[in-house]
Amino acid sequence: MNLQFEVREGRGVVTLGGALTAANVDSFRDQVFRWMNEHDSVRQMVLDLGAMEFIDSAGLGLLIVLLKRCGERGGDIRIARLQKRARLVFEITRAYKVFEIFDTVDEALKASA
Amino acid sequence: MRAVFQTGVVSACGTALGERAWCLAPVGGKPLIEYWLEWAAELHVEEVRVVLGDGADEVEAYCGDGSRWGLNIQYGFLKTIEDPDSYLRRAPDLWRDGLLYLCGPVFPHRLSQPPWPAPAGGGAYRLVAGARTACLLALPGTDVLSMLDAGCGADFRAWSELSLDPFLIRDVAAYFELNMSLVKGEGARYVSPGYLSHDGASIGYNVLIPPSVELRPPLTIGNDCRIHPMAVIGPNAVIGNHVIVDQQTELSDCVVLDGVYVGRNLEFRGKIVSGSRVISPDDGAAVEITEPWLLAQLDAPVRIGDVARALAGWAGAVVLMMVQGIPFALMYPAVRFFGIGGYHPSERLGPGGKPVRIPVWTVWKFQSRLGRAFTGLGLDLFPLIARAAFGRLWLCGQAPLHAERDASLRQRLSRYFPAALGYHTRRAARGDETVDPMECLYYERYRSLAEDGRILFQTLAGRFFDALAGDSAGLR
Repeated sequence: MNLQFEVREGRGVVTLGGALTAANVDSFRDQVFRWMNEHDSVRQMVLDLGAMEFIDSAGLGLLIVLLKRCGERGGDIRIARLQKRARLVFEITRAYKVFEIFDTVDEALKASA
Repeated sequence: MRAVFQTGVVSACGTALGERAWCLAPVGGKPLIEYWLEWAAELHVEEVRVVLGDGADEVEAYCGDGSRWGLNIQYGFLKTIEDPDSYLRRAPDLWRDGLLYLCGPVFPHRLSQPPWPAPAGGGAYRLVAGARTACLLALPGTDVLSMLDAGCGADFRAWSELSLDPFLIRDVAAYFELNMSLVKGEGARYVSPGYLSHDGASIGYNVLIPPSVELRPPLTIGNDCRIHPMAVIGPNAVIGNHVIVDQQTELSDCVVLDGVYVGRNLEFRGKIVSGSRVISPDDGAAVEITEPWLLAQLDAPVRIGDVARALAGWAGAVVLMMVQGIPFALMYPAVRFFGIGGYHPSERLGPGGKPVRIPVWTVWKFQSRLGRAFTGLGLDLFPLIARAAFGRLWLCGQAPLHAERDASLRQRLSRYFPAALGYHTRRAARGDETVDPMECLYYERYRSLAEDGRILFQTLAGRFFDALAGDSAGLR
């Protein structure tokens, strides 16, 4: 799993590559929470999942935890560039009803403006 | 008239749908092969020959002797699945009285309600897919082989005379579209006389549906299904046999193949579900769901014959290990000392698909008498037989497959019995490590105690007589 963090237009962009599964979900949570603690001012986040190959229910659960954490800070999470296989998982688990999903990172950033 | 059904050819649609035989994939609530058998029954076919390949066990278990359709079904295997027409070319005289030939996932699409016009006169009807004949209906007196070889410009009769438009199900999108058109109403053309579904809901036998389940026709549910409370089925849902749909799950515009557990609170719209695989027919994207509480293939029952084979194989392996132990301990050091041969480890797939390292015998000096005696007594097999005695391999079965090289073959096998001895063993003694897919499929279909005994006898006796005859090629 590859993770990259950046701040664009005052919003956090997290780029996630590889698979987000039960095997690496703890590591992902620790890194994201640490970054969020270091960037208190960032309330809106965009998850760029263009390079994410697969996500399982543990990964989905963590995304919902992240959404809740952002909501507590008065912010929100948007998902961008969801790929075919991961989109199937989002569809069958109804996760697409919980998250706003955009085709590009720019669209997600504009929507959260 | 006779019929030949080629179920052993590889199909892109079948590969995408998963490990089960494509001819058993449900189409509008019943397996594709059932449409073929009904067509054969309608044509008063005397004998149906089903040429098996992938999922041979399941195909034969489903079709049986054909008495359900008033047919007489015979089964066979074809050695070269790359040339399916060769089955017809072996005995051309058999097809003089007429032939219905289906090769690959062909759907006999009806253009109207029954009764349909019966074929009369002579000539043939043909459907070509690529360079291959996918469907051929040759009427009595027609030379079948010339029809197979005829070019596209040949004078074939039009299928529309029979109110038919057969087509090849090329991919999952075509498979999905076909199911949707059948569930939306076209399926009534294929319903047996006496059965009607005015409300568009077709539900099989032994299906439990609690009152809180919402059924939105049109839909088709197969036999032996369990729908849990507050699930929503339909519209346009085709559910196969032995399917469990858990609470609050919604299925619409989707096809669920046989033997699937669909977990709680999920939603399937515009999808094909095959075991733990979800397929999007629009773009062919597929994802394997690894969590069995979400989606899982319901396991096939264990055959009692397999348990008997396991016990007999284990006992045989223990006896062989005891018999060969002392000769091996005496001869192997000498074989190594004189540089006649040795073992090298090879990574293979063991029982349950787990990777195992097995020792593979390699001969360095082909003409040595000591080496000939060592191999002739089957002592080169001793390490493998010892593994069978410790339950790490079957005694008799299929060649242990390479994890990467044979990955596609492993996917095709619904039952995998990696073994110390098999059809491959005598070839392996000649240094040929290739795995023949048809050998694996043949064993999957014909495995039995008697077959295991035959493999054991042929392997050991064959090697012994090869050694006596001084067949140096046989000892390589």
